[in-house]
Formats: sequence, structure tokens, C-alpha cells
Amino acid sequence: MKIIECQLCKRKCNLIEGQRGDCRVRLHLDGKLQTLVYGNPCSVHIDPIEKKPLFHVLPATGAFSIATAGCNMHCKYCQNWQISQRPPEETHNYDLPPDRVVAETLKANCKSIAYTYSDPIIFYEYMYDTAEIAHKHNLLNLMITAGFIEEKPLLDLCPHIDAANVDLKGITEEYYQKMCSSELAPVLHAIETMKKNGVWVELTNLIIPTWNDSEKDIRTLCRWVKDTVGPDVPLHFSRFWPRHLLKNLPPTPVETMELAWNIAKSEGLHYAYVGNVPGHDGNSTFCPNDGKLLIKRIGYQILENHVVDGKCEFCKTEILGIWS
Amino acid sequence: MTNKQLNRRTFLKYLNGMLTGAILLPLTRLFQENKTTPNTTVKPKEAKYYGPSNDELAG
Repeated sequence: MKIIECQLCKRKCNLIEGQRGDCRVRLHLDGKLQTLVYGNPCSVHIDPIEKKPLFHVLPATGAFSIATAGCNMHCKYCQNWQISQRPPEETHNYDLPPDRVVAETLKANCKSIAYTYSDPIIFYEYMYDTAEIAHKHNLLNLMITAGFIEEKPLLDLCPHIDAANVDLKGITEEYYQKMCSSELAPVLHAIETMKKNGVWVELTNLIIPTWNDSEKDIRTLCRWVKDTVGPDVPLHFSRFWPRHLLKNLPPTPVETMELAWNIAKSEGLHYAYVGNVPGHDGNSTFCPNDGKLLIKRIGYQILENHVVDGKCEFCKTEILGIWS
Repeated sequence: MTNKQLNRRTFLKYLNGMLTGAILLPLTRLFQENKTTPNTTVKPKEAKYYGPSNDELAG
């Protein structure tokens, strides 16, 4: 019996004929590995880029956002479980090949395409081909991912991805195993790889009461970010809301979000944010040099922007990101 | 006002509604340009990044 190994994500599923990978969308058929979601997204939306969240990339522009069914992660709190934990036969899919994604993006006057909602690693070929065409039309490619990918496909993809938000879900192997049936080390490696290969990286850490909300964990995570990828990598703390298999837990208290925000600042991170708490000061960007308000946000709305040519309008400190 | 007049008025109201609908329906379709209709067809395409497994049966 011929067994093939999928070498796309870190799960490296071994598949006999007729069997699908853990992601539900890659199938061993007729001796070959087949993707079942190429050109067939189940979610197509125009989102503000701030929703990804990417706060240092073309503020106040639209991101044409696509996703297919399936995922290689199985987080208990998944916000998009209706598509991520389903095979493509159980979702309503659109016929949208790569060239049409780009055409629709241009028609909608969006500046970027976001591969998002489920983890785009599982629709790698679709994302890759779309990204190639998008670059020819001067569109940015944004990948919103958990980063659980093999090194070779990631290295091949990096030249086509401009910015990524990587979900750094926790900072212990135990958390990754229990909460996501996954591993931490490959995710940390993927973040470093993207950074080294020219991708603009922002990180998101969803803080869940009793799971990863201790001061020790938050501080360890902030120190890893600062020491490994540098203090200019934006870190978004996201407030948990009960979903999927974790409806028994309360939403994260705002006080916990503020604790995380303060820890990040005290550890020397230049850009720490508080997400899912609309109106909080942590939605906004402050200059790391003079502390002045640079981009005032309420949720996804931008009310003021004092970043001019990638610099603070007041003290001319460079603010890293993709601004034009 | 007689019952007969009321019926005529009601009839005209229905007629008016039907005519408006008949005119507006094709018009609304004009504005639904190129909407992609969802489908559930799964079309396999050969993937990248796979190879023979090194796992062998024991025994």
C-alpha cells in the first residue's frame, strides 16, 4: 500500500489512498496529493486592514479577504469554527480562481489581498498563485496565519507575501498542545523565518482567562518578541470572547488586557496594542520616542494619522511598517 | 361608497403592485452584476510539497 506524506505543514500527515490530511482539504487520490479548495473560497469579504489586525500597513485601506474551508489548527476557542473545522463539501464555496480574485480586488479599490479567517497554509497553492498575480498589479499580499508550516514552503512563499500577522497563541508547549493540539517551537521558528526573509510581521496574542493570562506568561512572551524579532514588531493583545468549545469561560477582563499592555511597554516593546476593547487607548499607535499619539483608532476606525512618510510628524522618528 | 367601488379600488391596488413588481424585478437583476453564485463542487488539483512516506509497517 502506497503511503504519501504531506510536507506542507508541521503535522506531516501520512496518507493512504483516499485519506485526507488533518486539515480536511488535502487528499491522497490516485497516488497524488490533491488540494480540494483551489479557487474555491467559502468566505469572501472586504475588510478594513485594521481588522486583520495589521496596524502598520496601509492604514484605512480595504483588504480583499478570502478563505477556504479547513484548517491545520484545532483551537478550542476558534472564532471561525464554522468554516475552519469543516471539509469543503460542507461549506458554500465560490468559483473564484486567482485571476478573478485580483480582478475583484482592483474593482473594489482595495490595496491588498488578505489570506485569512481559516489558516491560509492549508490553501497554500491558491494563495501562492493569487499572490503572484497580485504583485504584478501592485497589490500587497497579507497572510494571517498561525505559522504552523514547514520551512521549505514558507521560504518559497516569503517573496510573495508583504505582511503577515502571526497568531502567537501562547508561550508554552503545554498551552499549544492542550488548547490547539499543536506545537509552539515551529511557530516561533516560522516567525523568525518570515522576519528574516523580509516579511513585515505583526503578532497577535489572544489572552484567555485561566489559560495564558498569568503575568509570568505574558512577560515571557514579550521578552521572546523583543529578544528574537525586536521591539519594533507590533504585538496585539486580543480580548477573548467565549466561542466554540470554550463557552464556559468569561470574556477576558479589561484589567487583564491593561496588565498585558503595561507589561509589554515595560519590557521595551515599542508597539503594543489592545484589541477587542473598542475605545481603549491601546487601540492607538504612540511614538516610541516622544510618546505622542500618532494614529488614533477606535476599533477599526482611524480618527487621526500623524505618520508622515513613515515618520512621526512631530519628532521625525522612523515608525516601521508599510505606509505607502 | 358602495361595496362594488371598494372592490374596484382593491383590485386596482393589486394590479398596481403586480405591475410595479414586474417592472422592478428585471431592474434589480441589472444591478446584481456578476455575482458569483455559491457552489459546493470540489475540484481536486495536484498539490505541492508531498513525497513518499518513510513510515514502514513493523513486524
